[in-house]
Amino acid sequence: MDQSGAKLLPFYLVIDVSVSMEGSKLQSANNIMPTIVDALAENPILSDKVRFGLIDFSDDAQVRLPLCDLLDPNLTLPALSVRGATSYAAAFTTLRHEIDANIAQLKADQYVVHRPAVWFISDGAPTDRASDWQRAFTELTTAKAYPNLIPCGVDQADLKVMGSLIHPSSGSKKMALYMMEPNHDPAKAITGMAEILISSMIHSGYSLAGGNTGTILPPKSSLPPGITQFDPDDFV
Amino acid sequence: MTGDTLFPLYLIVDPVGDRSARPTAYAVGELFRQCLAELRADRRAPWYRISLVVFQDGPARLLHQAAVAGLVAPDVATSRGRSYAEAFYRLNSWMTIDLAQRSWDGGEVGTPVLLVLSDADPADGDHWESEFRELARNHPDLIVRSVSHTAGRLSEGWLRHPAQRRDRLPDCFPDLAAAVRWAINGEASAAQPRQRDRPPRPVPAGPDPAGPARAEPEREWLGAFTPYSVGDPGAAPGKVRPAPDPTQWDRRDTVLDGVIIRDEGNRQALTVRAASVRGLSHRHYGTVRQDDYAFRCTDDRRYLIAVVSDGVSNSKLSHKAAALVCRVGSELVMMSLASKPPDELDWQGVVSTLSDEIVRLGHQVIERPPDRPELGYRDVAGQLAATALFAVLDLRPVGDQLLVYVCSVGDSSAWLLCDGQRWQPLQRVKNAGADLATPVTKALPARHPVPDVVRVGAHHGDVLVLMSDGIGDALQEGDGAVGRFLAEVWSAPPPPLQFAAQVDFARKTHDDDRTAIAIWIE
Repeated sequence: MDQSGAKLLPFYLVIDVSVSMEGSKLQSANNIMPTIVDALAENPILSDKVRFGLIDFSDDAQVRLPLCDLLDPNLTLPALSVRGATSYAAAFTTLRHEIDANIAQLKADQYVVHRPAVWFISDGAPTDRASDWQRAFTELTTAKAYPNLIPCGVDQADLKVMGSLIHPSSGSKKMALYMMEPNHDPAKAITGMAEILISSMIHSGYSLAGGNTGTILPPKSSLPPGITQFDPDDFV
Repeated sequence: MTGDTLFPLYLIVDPVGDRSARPTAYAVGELFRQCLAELRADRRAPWYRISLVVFQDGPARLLHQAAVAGLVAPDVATSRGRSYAEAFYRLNSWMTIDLAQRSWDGGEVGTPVLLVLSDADPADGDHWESEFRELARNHPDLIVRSVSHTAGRLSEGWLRHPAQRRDRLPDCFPDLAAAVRWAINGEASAAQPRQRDRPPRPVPAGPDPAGPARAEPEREWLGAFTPYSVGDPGAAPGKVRPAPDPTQWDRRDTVLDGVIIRDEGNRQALTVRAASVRGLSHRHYGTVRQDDYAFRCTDDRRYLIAVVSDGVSNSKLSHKAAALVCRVGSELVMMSLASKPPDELDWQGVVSTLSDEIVRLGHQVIERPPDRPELGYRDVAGQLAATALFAVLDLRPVGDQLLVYVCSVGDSSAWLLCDGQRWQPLQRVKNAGADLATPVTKALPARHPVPDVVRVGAHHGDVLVLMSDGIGDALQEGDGAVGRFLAEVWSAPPPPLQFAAQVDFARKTHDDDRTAIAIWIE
């Protein structure tokens, strides 16, 4: 059916499935998508516009769910399982290809596509070379259709590395980093980050209704316990 | 067979098909063929008359009260555009007409049966219940049967007639034959023409009926309403429960007008339809309609002035800016036209004055934070801003055309619908060619507003349309589904309430406020 002119808000969840995620962390991660589905089901104005994609990464990165309507009754949500190490380069490269292909397809189908938001969750430092993943990250963020990227770190995630992933890192539309507080339960932290994601999605949808575009982050005062927000200015 | 009683059977065959299993269009089609076979074998076969309804971009009638003898079952393809609301609406008139036709032919009609064969429930957003109630009201003895084929099981389907006795409800049928026999035995009680409790209304003049004929139902009142949708309406229209804005009880959800404008010689020059409708998004979030419109004629009836304004920004106050642009803007233009022709209209001056007026209003209505002595221009613009789209029509023709002057600030758009099909834009199309959508809406107040001004000639039969981006975004360049829909429903001026319903058409993700002024040139 002719969908031309329909507005679209693409979201990507890019999630670390290295071996260290095994256990309760993976369980929390597997709960993220069903929770998002529930939130969308309650918000019909938003759900018509939102498309979600899921990429998991370890030694390589795989598209587990291509960008789609989460409320499609025929959809089966994938179950994540752990693999190996932690290659950020693989994640960013696969993400860039996905975004390029998805936006090209949506434009061809005459959708009006707003800037994608990427929620990047990792529980440890990257195991690949800094120059490799930094190059992949730069290619991702200097593309014309660059995404807004919100990094989220739990457990052994490296604060400085995660801080360098905030994009944009300056200007009125800058994003932020969410880090688990030390000694907190990482599984609970992942659940908390999903709540922030959903809150951001709802706020962005509401803001879009008012004519503004862009990814809105929820106020710092409303963050779930055990999670701290870092702004780009916090990293000198 | 003029004296015989015929049994009208209305069959809706709706194979949706389950994408994960093997296609069940085959299964519902098979059910339908079995139905026909059973009907042919039935002893009352010569008296059955079948109308077959399928969904092909809306309800379509493949068979029209056809006799079963020698009938070859038509192929039934997977349903597309399955609006049961529309189907019941159409069936209502088809059944009434069939009945009247039969009575006119001097025959009698037994109890009609409606049979629905499907493998899915109606789609979300399909408001079929009110149309079905209408149908049942107009045909009170209608027997309704519905067979569902889901997950390989046959059972009673989703459509139930509330007034019907439910003593023989099967949980599921052992086989197709059982399902079909149950379905067609619905009319078994109507072997004789039914005696009605109230005296039948006399049949219109024709051959004498052989016995008491089934009278045409008395209609105390007429009317029906089906909401419009273009393409996929999405889930939102069916799920949104409109909420009021508790800070603005007196701001109306929808306003509309419909008038005929006469020129200086008292000839009918223009027909105007206007509507401003709150969008689904504002209805869901409980905030006011932020669009507005106005129109007026100069005292000498030489010019018609029309304005559309779309309040922008996230604030709860931008509707006040839109209202100001419409009211004050049309007054300013009217005052100018009292002394100067439209060619000499100082549009720059008009939009600058409107800018200043909005800022002045801002100082009055915006709550000033205690630490700020005075609200700056930017502070006001952040809370009170609106687009401005003006049209001035000179009702005195120049040759065979009327001159139209259009002035625009922002993304509300003006169009000329020519030859009933071609949408000619009177300004640049928003976001054309860009990869990602960017919000470059210009609006008033602006320090140095630069209005976009054009002059165009409109001919008899053209329609000038001013619209906010709630419709403009869906219309795009005018050559898509929305363009075709509006061109068709606006080929002639509809009744004003219907115009408002058309402006409110449902289309997935298009949930902004909608405003349109449509002006038919005589």
